[in-house]
Amino acid sequence: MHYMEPNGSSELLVQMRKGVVEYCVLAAIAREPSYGHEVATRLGGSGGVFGSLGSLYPLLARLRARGWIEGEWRDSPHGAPRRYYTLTADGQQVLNAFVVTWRGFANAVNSHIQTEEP
Amino acid sequence: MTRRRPTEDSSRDRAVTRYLDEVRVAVAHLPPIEQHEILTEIQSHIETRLAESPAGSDDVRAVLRDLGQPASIVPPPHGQEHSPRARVRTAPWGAVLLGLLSMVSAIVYWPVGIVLSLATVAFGVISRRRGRSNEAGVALVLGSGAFIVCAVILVFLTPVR
Repeated sequence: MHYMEPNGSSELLVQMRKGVVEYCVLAAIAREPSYGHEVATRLGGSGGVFGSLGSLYPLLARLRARGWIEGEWRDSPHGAPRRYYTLTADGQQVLNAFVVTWRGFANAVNSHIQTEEP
Repeated sequence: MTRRRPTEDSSRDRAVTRYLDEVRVAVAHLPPIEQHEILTEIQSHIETRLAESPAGSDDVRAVLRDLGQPASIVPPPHGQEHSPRARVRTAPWGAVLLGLLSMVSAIVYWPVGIVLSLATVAFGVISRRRGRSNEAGVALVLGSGAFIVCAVILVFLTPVR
């Protein structure tokens, strides 16, 4: 049997993030048009859904390339102009599909592990 | 409002420039449009955060630390990890081989050389669009060189009747 190393939980978190982070970003943008730093803050900043804040920006570029979100530059009262992202119709469909799938999946996992808690 | 000294400004700018340079290297394998978007966004993020708390280079360090190590914010190319062995695989051997083949063909038998040189140039254009600048550079130089050799042979060595 394989026993988890002391750092196993952080490795587990990295793997879990990979599967859900882009859908969390879609969900954050679905609430209201947001710029990158707002999305990051809404999702708990560095160490939450993201390993680091910087990884948000390649992710946003990928989501935009897939046509799931679109961006519009707007002037900012502080600092540089900001790119505000909104969900496209395709992005909304993807998010809806994820939400349905995730609820079923999370329920299934919870039902299996609730008796296994240490 | 706290007024910063010029030395703090330049120290801040140097740290940001160095960080963006490292990001530029980390995203070099992505398509050029994505590279540009990521760099612009990260620069905007840094400027916004610094504008919110203009206190000096300590803040720069905090902002850059939150962003994370440049090499870790972008996933490596599919199937390529940051190992010496992986770096060897990224060398543009395909472009070199195709380019040399078209050069040799151009000298030995120009009709084949023309076809191969055009294929090499096309390979270079596709590589450039995919953000593989090394491969694109080698393919474009060798492909156009082979094409010029073919053209020279065709123009000067074909007997006039």
